[in-house]
Amino acid sequence: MKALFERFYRQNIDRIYRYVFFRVGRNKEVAEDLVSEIFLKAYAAFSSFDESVSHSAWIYRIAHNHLANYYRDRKQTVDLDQIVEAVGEIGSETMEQRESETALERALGSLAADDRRLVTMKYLEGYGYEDMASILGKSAGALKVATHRAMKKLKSLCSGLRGN
Amino acid sequence: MFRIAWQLRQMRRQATPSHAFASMLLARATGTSTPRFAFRFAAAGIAIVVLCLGSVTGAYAYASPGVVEGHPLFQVKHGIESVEGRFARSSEQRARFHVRMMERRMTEAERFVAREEQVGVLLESAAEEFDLSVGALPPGMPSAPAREEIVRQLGEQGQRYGQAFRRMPMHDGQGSRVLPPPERIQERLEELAR
Repeated sequence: MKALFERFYRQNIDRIYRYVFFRVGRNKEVAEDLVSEIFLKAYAAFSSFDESVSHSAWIYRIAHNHLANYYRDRKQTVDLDQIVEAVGEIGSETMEQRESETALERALGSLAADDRRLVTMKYLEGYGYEDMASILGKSAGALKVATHRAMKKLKSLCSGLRGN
Repeated sequence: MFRIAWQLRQMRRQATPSHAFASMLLARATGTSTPRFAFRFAAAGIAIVVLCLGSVTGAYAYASPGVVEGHPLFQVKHGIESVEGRFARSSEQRARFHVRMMERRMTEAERFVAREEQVGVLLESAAEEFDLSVGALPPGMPSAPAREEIVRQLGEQGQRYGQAFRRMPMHDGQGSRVLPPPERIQERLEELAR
């Protein structure tokens, strides 16, 4: 089982880390703590893993629930799909250390939640369309088109923000 | 606008867990002890290189421009290139490595000229290697002749990029890519030459 888990771990560690990292105000220490807890939880449940669910979808669900619990324990109400927009508030200390918020980050925050989710999954977290399909329950082809459209909207928003 | 995909990838790269953290977490989860990271890394790297390059398959995968994403041997090629990249320690080695990778992507893109989607992916990757190579080149690094040579090589690959880019139909349909235009590459080359 260790070998199987190791393979599963290597396929998912980067993406899950990024998923968490961008939702905790880019705080490396908090992200590492949460990702550790997520994978320890995954290892404990790995032997009872339902093979009918994809590994990517399974660990993504664990990460999502774990983050939701993290914010619930901190008595913060957050929609995890909106979190990129909320980064500035939740991670204000970390964000304040940055020189300035870029037009891209502001545009990303202005995107509709569904579009933002596609762009962040594909470009920030690094998921392929097949994995996105198993996580989101849609076809890879449809997601490819939707992601492309979302990128066009993002480009348009960026242009607008730079123009202002 | 064309920089958006590149900027997002830059953000993604900054959000990568460290090897030390990833190794320690795996060991903690599975209850195994880890050999010293550097030793483990070196041993794994050498083993992969020996295994892959030692086999005809590995050598073919590495050498053939026909092995691209979607090919059964792509992961072998990608693995060998990744290991090769890990051994590039200094700025100069990293800059040279990314020039080599850009050259490889361009050779692949020129081979798949009829397959737009494939070329788009390869050009995107080539542009990324260009940025990485430029990023590894601090001012004055490491000696003027070496820097000039790397900039010259980047210029050659930049020209190939421009030619391949202009052959691509720039429609907005499914699968088209957000590619940096050759003018941006040229501008960066001019900045480097100053």
